[in-house]
Amino acid sequence: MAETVRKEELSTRRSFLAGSWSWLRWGAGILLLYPLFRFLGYRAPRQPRIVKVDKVVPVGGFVLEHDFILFVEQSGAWAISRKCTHLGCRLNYQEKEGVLLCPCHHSRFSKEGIRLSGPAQKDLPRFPVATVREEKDGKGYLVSL
Amino acid sequence: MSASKFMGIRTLIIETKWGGMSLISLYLSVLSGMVVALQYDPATPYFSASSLDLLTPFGQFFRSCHFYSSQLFFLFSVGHLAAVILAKADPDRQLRFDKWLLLIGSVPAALLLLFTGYVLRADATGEAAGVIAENILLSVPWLGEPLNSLLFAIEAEGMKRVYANHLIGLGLVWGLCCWDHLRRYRVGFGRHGLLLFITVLGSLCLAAPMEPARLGLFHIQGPWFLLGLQELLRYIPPFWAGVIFPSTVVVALACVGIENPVRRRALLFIAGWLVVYFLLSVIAALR
Repeated sequence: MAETVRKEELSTRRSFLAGSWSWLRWGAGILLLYPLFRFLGYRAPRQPRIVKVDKVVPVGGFVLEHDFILFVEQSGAWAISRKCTHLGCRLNYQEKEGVLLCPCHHSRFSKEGIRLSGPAQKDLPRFPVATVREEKDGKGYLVSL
Repeated sequence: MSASKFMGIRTLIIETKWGGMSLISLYLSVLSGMVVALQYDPATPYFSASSLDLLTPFGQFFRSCHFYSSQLFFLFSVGHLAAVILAKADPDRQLRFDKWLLLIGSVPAALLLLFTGYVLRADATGEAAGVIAENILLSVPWLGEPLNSLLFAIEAEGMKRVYANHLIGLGLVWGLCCWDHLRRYRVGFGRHGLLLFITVLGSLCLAAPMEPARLGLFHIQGPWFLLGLQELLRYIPPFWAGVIFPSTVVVALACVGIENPVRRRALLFIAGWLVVYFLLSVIAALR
């Protein structure tokens, strides 16, 4: 009788230890995800990128680059991002209507980057532009992204 | 529709060898994908994909073969799932719930495999699909950033992680979900000669889609299976349209593995979901 009780005690202890060991392994596995996600989530800081537009744009004209669109008016030159603030699709410029249109979900923005309609909720970011007038560097515009 | 006609369609769905055809298409997709991967460079994705079509000898054929066989793999898998659900209406023939759950895990994995293929070609559709997926993931509270780091991170890393996942990660997840199921079945190329012939001939005659980014591109249609989602994203916030809405159907599919009445309700929900998604896709296609 005493031997049976002892065996049962041992078996309970053994199953408890086995269960704990299994939980520990699961816990360790989940803990390992933390460094993995920290590793994957790290972004090395980027230097600001300066893009040169190597041409003189007439007043009322524009230049479409990969990441921005540059407009030139009497008041000066400005550049706005081509990345839609809804889900990041690349905007195109509808010259006839003077609006930027997102090809994915048809959000519309003014030339100044102000949201006009569509699912986007925010205006487009504006990038600083410097006009280059020196002959030795070539005329054009410097856009800081 | 009369009852006999319905039974006829049901029998046709059940008796078609969807699983075998799906597996053969997968083999072809993996083989052609391995060939394409030897030329593809994720550092210059669009240049690389268009070079395959325009410059590399037989590049267009291998890319088309990879594209069409992958589409067929997904479609036949869906057919297989429908056939299994129809055939296993009898509770005695149902799979154990944990096994069913694992198999349902392969559905989003297969969808993501197909999707990352679209993204990797980096044309107008692929580029837009990639940034949309990234922004949808980032809209998920707390988990968005780590999930995006794991799956896409296109903005920060280009196509590097998408490529790694397309080539290894997602395939591995799909394989893990299906391993127990597939190790019991063997399927030979010889038994599906017609399917192979049609896929290879189709790949020779029809080039896989490629839409170059160009000025004046004012409308992009996403991949066919995401058209409904694209439409929905116009009306409701990304988290609800891109995460919650698709997740509901996956949860419902998982619930199909539970006994009635849960199973019946889940099937009704899936049918309703599919009708809504189909209508949304039609609206998107007509734009």
